[in-house]
Amino acid sequence: MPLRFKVTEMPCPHCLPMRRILSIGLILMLAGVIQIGSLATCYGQNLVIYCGRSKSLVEPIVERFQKETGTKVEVRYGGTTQLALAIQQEGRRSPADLFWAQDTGALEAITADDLFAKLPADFNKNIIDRFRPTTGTWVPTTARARVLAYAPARVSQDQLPQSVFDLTDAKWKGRIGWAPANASFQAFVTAMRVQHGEEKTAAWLQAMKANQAKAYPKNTPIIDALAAGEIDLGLPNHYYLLGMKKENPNLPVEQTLFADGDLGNLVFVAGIGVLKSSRKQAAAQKFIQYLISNPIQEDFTTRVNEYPVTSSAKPAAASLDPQALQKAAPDVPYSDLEDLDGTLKLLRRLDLL
Amino acid sequence: MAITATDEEVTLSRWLELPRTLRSLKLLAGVLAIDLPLAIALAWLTTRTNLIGGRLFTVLAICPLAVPAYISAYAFLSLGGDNGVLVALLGRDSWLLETMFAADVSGQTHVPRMSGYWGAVAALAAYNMPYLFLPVRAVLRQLDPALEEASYSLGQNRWQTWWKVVLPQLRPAVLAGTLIVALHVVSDFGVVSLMRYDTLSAAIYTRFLTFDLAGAARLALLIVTLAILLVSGEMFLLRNTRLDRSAFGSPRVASTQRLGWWQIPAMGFCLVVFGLCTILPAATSVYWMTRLWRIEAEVNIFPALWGSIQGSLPAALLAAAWAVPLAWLSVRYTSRLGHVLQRLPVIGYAVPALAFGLSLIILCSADWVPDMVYHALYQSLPLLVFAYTVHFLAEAVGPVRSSLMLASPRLEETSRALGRGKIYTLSWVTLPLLRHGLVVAAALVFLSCMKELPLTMLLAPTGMLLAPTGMETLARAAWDHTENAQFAQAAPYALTILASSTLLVSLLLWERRRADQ
Repeated sequence: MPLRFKVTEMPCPHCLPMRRILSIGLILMLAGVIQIGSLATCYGQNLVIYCGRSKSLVEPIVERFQKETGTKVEVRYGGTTQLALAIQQEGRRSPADLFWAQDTGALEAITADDLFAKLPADFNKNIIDRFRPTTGTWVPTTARARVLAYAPARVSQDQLPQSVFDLTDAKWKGRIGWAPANASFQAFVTAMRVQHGEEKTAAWLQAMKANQAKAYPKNTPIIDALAAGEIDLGLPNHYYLLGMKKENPNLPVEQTLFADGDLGNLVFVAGIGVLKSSRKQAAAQKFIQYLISNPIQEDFTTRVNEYPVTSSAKPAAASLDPQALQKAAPDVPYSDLEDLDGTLKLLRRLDLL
Repeated sequence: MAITATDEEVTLSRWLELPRTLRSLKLLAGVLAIDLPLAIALAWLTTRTNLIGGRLFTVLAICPLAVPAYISAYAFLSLGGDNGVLVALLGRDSWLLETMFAADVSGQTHVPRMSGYWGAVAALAAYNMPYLFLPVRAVLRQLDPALEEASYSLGQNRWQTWWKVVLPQLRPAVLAGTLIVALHVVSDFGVVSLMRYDTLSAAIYTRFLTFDLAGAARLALLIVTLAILLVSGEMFLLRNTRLDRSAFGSPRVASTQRLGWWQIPAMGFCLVVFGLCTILPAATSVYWMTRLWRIEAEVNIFPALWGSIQGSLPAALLAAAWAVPLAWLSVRYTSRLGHVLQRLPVIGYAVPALAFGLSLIILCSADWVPDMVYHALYQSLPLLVFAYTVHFLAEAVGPVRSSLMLASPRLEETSRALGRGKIYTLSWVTLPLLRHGLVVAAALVFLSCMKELPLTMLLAPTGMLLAPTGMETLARAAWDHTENAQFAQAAPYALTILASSTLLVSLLLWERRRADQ
């Protein structure tokens, strides 16, 4: 093997890398100055929303609001619970003016910590009676229903169960999917506790567990599992399948309601509230009023397939008319669904969480 | 023994979550059993042989780093199932599927999806492979062939040399990689929840989702304990290891092994591994993208790309810089304190990101923090960069330490003996020797930050230039859409993370090659 000597001219060690380091440092400093400059101009002027709803839904509405009112809005998107936890920790200095939540458990948690400002009573006057919260600290924005999703290839129309209580039948063993960690499912369990009592609810949950119901982390994986043939029945919210069919019309999954008045058809809401710590109460209230105005309510029905919460809004599809839903929905007033804590305790006791 | 907690009766066995802890450990064992041999074999094939396309395979091997874990899980889930890739390729009534799987109630063949333990193992193994591959590859490239030649000259055959000479030198790199993989596996949430495998980390997120902070903290403490045990194991196995050259002169570049006819099985092996690790998630994203035309959606990825880079790049540089003193302390001054200090970042890494982000919020919002400091710091870019850096620092320490262990202290001593000061020696002797390790460290942290979610969502800065409605990142945008099952709209963001990260890694490799010449 020949001996090789590698002789290279060493560049002056002081100049070359130093220059590179200096230039990188300069760029970083410049970026920093620009950032701080922009911070100074923006800080404290924008209306800040902590938003647990997804950006693809909210952004067009926010942009419309900015254009129509001239108010600048800044949105922090995240998981509903994460943002609620952040607001609880931030306390009086929270940068948020509004908190828009996917589910009412989070809204009630903020209310319980006394971080929401009381809203004027006339805010709720357009809202359909059963959706009106008792606390008066937040306003519902849209309504959704719990439904029965099924795979038509494996379950025919006449086999479909008429009540959630039929799901514990042995013929559905290992064929059902649910999402115990999901807030909507928890609202449903709360409703069952209100209507049928603690004991019957615990018995139902245990029977479902014994019937090998498969636990998914949230709603969309339930529908994925139905399409994949992993399960034959599922308990999601109504709008996920409608949204998924827009992307993939051939999805072999359908959904239906249980018999009229059954708990499985529970209707519940998403909502928004103004934080006490906000120094822009008026602008924040204007945003809420904007959300429950007719054009925006109707926009919700076309783009996210959710039900309007006001009686004056005209939904795009007849199937999304909240009046039609009234007949199918169980007779549980929305305000009775506030004991999330009891439900969580029950689910933990049964090892479902 | 019963400890009474706020809302539920907690017995000791329940407190320790034994079944969940055991499931976490079982998952870890499965992932390591797959990843260790694969990563070492791939690293050897791409550095020490004349494998055709070795450089391409290296880039491909690093790509999974750019894939958020939950997308990798979705990809594995989409393989099976009655509407999955297998069925699309073979047809549901093909005899192969009919003979392999049973029929469902409607009489048609049902192709099960990967789920549960094996699904989680497969997805996590594919996702974590690069964390082992990269450090092993880096060390294999730098090994001094003289040791192997000495072994051959002493009559050892190739296998004996591999076991007794090469493998022991890989030990620090393998252990560093194993530690990172282990921490990922025990703190992963996205994969295990989608695969429906109930581990400790899955339970933590469920606790957070249900506002049970005390329960989440208890579980996080268990994970941190587990992490400390893992780190102690690593420290124990690494004790008294010294790998720098003691010979004069500088090492030659190792000769490459000619594969001959082995070329074909070797390439086949690489293709299968990369098919599962890299091409599967990428192809899944591309498939989602093909459905994009069906819906009218405007997609503008640039604000998200800019947001991602703004947070990730400074964090990557900072983490690499912080790793140097930590690695230095543990390698050059073999004090116990140095060893402990160097492992400290592991705790920041093991704490689930959501808990870490929340704890920073709690710290900033504490009453004793003056309003002015709060407003300047909270939800500012420096705080986000700080959070990223502390959380991902552990990823940077491993590669820097491995490089430092291979750098002879004699060079530094020579520099000092020639009258140069400490700082001069560090800047112009040690740091250049660490260059490769530093680059790998920065790259790893950068890729992790690019796909990070909870910290970004909790701490993303407000009032940023070019982001009038708040800072957006690629990972958050992709997540936002998958959350609503808008997979087609998530695809452009996922693919941009993949593409930009691949571009970056290729640039680094190219730069390295140029530096070698």
